[in-house]
Amino acid sequence: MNSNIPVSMQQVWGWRVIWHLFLVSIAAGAYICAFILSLVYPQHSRLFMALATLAVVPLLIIGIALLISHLGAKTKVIRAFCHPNSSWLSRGGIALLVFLVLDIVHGSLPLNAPPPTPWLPFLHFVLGIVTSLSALLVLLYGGMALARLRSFPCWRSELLPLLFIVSGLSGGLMVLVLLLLILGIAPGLDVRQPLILALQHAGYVLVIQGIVLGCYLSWAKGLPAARGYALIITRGAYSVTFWVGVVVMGILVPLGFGLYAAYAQIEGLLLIIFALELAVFGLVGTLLLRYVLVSAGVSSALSVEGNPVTLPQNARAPTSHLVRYR
Amino acid sequence: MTRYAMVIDLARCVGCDTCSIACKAEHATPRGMLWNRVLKYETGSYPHSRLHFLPMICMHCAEPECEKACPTRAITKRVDGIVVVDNNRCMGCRYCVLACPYASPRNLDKLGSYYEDYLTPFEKMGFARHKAGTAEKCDFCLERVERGMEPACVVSCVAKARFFGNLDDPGSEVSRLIKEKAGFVLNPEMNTEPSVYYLPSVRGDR
Repeated sequence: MNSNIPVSMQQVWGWRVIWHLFLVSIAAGAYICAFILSLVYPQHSRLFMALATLAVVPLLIIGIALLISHLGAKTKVIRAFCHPNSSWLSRGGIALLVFLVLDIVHGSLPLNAPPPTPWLPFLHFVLGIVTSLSALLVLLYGGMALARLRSFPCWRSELLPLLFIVSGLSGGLMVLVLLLLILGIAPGLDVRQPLILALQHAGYVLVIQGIVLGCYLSWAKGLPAARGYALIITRGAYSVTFWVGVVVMGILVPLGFGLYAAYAQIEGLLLIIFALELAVFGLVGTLLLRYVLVSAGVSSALSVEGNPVTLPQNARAPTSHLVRYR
Repeated sequence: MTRYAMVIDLARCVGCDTCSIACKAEHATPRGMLWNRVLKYETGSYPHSRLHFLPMICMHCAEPECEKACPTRAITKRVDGIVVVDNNRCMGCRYCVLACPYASPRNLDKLGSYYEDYLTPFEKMGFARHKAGTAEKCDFCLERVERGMEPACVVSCVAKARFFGNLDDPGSEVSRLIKEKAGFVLNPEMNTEPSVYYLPSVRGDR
């Protein structure tokens, strides 16, 4: 792409959609991570699942409320469920509702019935799998909604939904770490072991997130129609947010804190400080990642008799849009 | 079968924006909302630069991306190929605005008057057809077409640069112009099969 041709960044989806994508992703990520951790470490299963089911409801409700506040005709939102065969927004709406209901059902299921019931753990397990699948669809939908847009070549990659999933999982782990820290304030409750486990796994997921992010941006840089997008993120208007907020604050710092805290056997106040920094920095990074990826979206230019013409994305854009020519 | 289409002759367009104003008058679109726009771009460099005009309306694609993206089925393609938005169904998510490769649908944020706090009788009458918060776009002047008339932008074009007709009829003027004057569509790689064709800006027959 010739760098002399101005590009037009999308101004259609703003901060409400970005916050919505962030909140529902970390809610879904928290549930999936808690479910996997509860299977791998059955001794902490109750704690992880209780935290996840508790966190999901407020996060999802705020996330859905933000999405509804973005809509121009809010009363028509019920219609959003009628086109799941082709619209990812419709699929996402259905997934959000199913996930919310299943999480509430799972959360309200008793852990121990007064007479011993052998089917109760099995029911928890089955419900956990079904809820995790709906959570996975919630994680997937944000990335897929962007990746299927032909008008934005910069988003048309399978790596984008994957990035949304991985960053949602890492954000979910940060939520669990934050909740474990809050729970640790309660006297007589030892959360050190589950906290170390969550920090350890957050480190692994952050490594994968970094790799997927690198692959996605190098893909975009290699594609002529998406190169402008990659340059805006890495060198242009969003470069500071990207390098400082997403890479350093969102990946490298939490990664260092998480792995050091998990493997250096630190305890007490130092562990709390490290875990708190990982959670806060990681969550900020997860939010900023969505902000950068969505806000910097560059639509494809029109090609008129071999000349590229940039389309104004803003609804209030001037009627005439002059572009430079190479 | 009928598939309505428009041919815009770029060699004739003078960029006067009469089509934009005719469209505004026909549909009483509120302030800030244009269903028809004329983009301007420059080629070459001084002293050999040249200004070009690109009238843009909804392309009424055979495979509309906006229709596929719409989660509420507010956008539908009629049997005659015209893609319409039902603002009673639209929830204003703006996904169609992002999905359209030609940026045709626009979200109407508010019913803005051209006067600070006063609606003219024309605006009062016309605004009944619009709903704030929903998506809007060109509908090929559906009401006029159903009465056998041509769209407002076609009849108002001072340079006679626009032609309207049935693309499925090989004998129609639009089919003939596309065939004889090498009509092209914008960004065919998007595979949306637009119904708006353009004739080259530089030709030997001028």
